[in-house]
Amino acid sequence: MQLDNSSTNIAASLALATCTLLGSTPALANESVDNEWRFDTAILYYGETDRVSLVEGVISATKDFGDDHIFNGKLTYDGLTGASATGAVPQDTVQTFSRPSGHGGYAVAAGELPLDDTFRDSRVQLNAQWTQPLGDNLRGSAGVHASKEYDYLSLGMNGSLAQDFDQKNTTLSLGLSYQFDQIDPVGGTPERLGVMPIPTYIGDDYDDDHDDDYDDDHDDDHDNAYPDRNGTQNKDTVDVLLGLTQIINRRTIMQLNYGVSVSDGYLNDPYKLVSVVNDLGQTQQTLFESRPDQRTKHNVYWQTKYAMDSGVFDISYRYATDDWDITSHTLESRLRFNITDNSYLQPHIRIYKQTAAEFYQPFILDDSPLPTFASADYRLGDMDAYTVGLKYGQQLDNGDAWAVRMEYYQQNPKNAGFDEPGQLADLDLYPSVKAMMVQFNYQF
Amino acid sequence: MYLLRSLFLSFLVCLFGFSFQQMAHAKTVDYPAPSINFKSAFSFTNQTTQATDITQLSQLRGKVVYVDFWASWCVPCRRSFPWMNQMQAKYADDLVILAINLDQDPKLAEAFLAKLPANFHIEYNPSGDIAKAYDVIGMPSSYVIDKTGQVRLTHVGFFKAKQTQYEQSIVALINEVPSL
Amino acid sequence: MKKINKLLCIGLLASQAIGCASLGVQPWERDLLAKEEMALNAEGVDLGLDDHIYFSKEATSGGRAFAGGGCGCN
Repeated sequence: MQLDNSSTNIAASLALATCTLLGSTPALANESVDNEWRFDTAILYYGETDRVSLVEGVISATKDFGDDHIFNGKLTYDGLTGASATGAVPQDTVQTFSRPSGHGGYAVAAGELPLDDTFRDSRVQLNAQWTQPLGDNLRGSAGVHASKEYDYLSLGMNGSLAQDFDQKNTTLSLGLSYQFDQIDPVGGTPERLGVMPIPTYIGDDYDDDHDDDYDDDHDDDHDNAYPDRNGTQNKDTVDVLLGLTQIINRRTIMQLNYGVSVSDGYLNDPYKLVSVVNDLGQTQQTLFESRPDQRTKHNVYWQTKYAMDSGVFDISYRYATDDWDITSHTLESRLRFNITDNSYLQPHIRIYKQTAAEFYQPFILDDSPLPTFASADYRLGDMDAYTVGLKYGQQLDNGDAWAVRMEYYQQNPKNAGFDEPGQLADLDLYPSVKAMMVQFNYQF
Repeated sequence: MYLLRSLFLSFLVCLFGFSFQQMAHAKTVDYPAPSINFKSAFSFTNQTTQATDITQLSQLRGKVVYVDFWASWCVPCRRSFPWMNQMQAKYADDLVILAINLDQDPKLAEAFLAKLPANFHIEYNPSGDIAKAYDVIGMPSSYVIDKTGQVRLTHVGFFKAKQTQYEQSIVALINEVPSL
Repeated sequence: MKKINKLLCIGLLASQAIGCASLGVQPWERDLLAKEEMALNAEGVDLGLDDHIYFSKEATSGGRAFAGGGCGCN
C-alpha cells in the first residue's frame, strides 16, 4: 500500500541473488553438503519514534543440487503500521488534510509536522535464483521475483555472468535486471501538482464501511471519492551492473562495482504533498507532488574485506549520482571479533550523506510561478544519516547458528538553502527521524 | 547511452571469448611427473607387490598413480573423497591414490578426515612446494600418472557428473601395457 | 554525460591499477578467504534487510547489487 517505508524492495532481493555471483568465493556456506537444504531465517523489528514501525520476516532456502548447481528461494513478509511525513509544512494553527481516498480527513496539531498516521499494510515477496557453473571459470545466474502489497505489484527478472581470471584471483561480472512495477494508488492517481480537496469531515474512518482506504480489507475495490482520476500507473526499470573482484593477498579481497539504473514511467509518490505558502508562511493550499518520469542513476561501489587472526574487517564506500541531481556518499564498516571458536561480536557503523534533488523544495511560494516538478519529500532533500549497531552470533554444536543485532538509525534532514518566510522560520521543517532495529537470525 | 551500450557489448564479447577458451575440464598431457619425496613413508600390500615402504613417487612405477591436491576448506574436495575411496578399493591392485593436503594448519586437515575418512595415503605439504612443482592452478587439482611415471591427464575441480569420465581415464591407463 | 565519463574513467583507472600489480594468491593459499564470513555476500539476509530499510528511507539505492527500484517512493 503506502509507498513510504513499506515499499517493495527489489534492491534487497536482487542483492542477495546477484551477490552470490559477484564474489569469487562459492555462495554456499562452508558446511554445506550436496542435496541438503540450508535455511536462513530472520525476523526484524524496525521502529521510528512516533512514526512508522515495521516487522519483517525472511525465510531463505538454499540447496546445492550437485556440482555447484545452486538454488535459492526466498520468502519475505512484512507488516507495517504508523505515520509518515507527507511533505506538507507544519503551521502554527491546526491543519486538516483529506485522506488519500478522499473520504474524510485528519487534523494535525499546531506546530506539528503533518504525518499521515494511518499507514498499515502487508507485503509478500517471493524470489527464486538459480546459479551454476558454465565452464571452468565461468558462472551464470538467473532469477525472478514477484512482490505484492495492497496498492503495488512488482515483477522482475535478472541474469548475470561471472568470469574468473588469473587462477580465480580476478573475477569480472556483468549483471542485467529488468523490473516492471505497477501502482494502483488508493483513491486513484492524483494529478501532478493537483490541489488536494478540503476534507468534508474529520475523523477516523477505519470502521466506516465506505472508507476503509487504509484497511487491509481488500474487498473495497478502491472505492474512492475521485471517480475522474486515473487508476493504475506503471514503471519500468533496467539495471546494468559491472563488477570486478580481486584477491589482493591471503587476507584481503576487494570488490569494485559500477552500476547504472534507468527508470521510466510513474516515479511519483502519489501520497506525497507540497504546501503552497504566502509570504507569512501560511499555507494557502496543498498540492500533490510532481516528479520527472525518467531517472538515470549511476553508482560506484568499493568494498574491501580483510581476514584478521580473530575476525574480519569489512569496509565499503559508495558514490552515487543521478540526473535528478542527487549525489550521495555512503561509508560503511563492520568489524567482527571472534570471541571464541564459535561466537563473535560485530560492531557496525554507517555514515550517509545526500544532496537534494533539483526539484526538491520544502514548500512552494504562492507569488512565484508554479514549477513543472516539485517534491517536498524529505527523502529527496539534503540529508545526513548514520547508523550504529552491534551484533552477537553463535554457532551451535549441531551446526545451526543464531545471531541477534541491535541498530540505531538517525536521519537528519537539512535545509538545502531555502528561506523560510513568516511563521515557518519558527517551526521545525526538518525534524530528525530516529529509529531502532532489532533482529534475530537463525540458520539451520 | 551510446557509450554504455558499446562498453556493454565489448564486455560481452570479452567474456564469451575467454569462456570458450577455458571450457575444457580434463586435459590430456604427457610429461614426466615431478618427483615427490614422502615425509611419511607408507606401504601397501597386494598380490603382486610385497609390502615395502614407499618414500618416493618413483617407487610406484608399474602402478597408475592418482595425485590429488586438496585442502580442508575446499568445498569440491569434500565431494571427491568418497569417490577416491571407492576407486582405491575397486582398483586396489593397480591404482595408488595420493592425496596431498595443502592446509597451513594440519589440525584442520585432521578435523576434515575425522568427518570424511580416507582409505588412501595422505601426504601433508603445508609449504605447498609439491603443489608448485605440479603447477597447481585450482583446488582440487588431480594428476593421473601412468605406469611409466608420465603425467597423462589433469583436471581441476571435482564434479560428480564427471566421475565416470574420471574413472574411464584411470581404467584406460591401467589397461595400458608399457613397452619397456 | 560528463559525469558518466568521469565515473568510467575512475573505474577503468582503478581496474588498471589492480590488474597491473601482481596481486593474488596461489590456489592453495585461500584458506582464510574461503571462510564463510569472508565471502562478499556473507550475512546476506542482514544485508537484504538493511537494503530494504535504506532503500525506502533514502534517495540512493544499489551499489553492492542492483539499484532496482520497486516503488515510486524515492
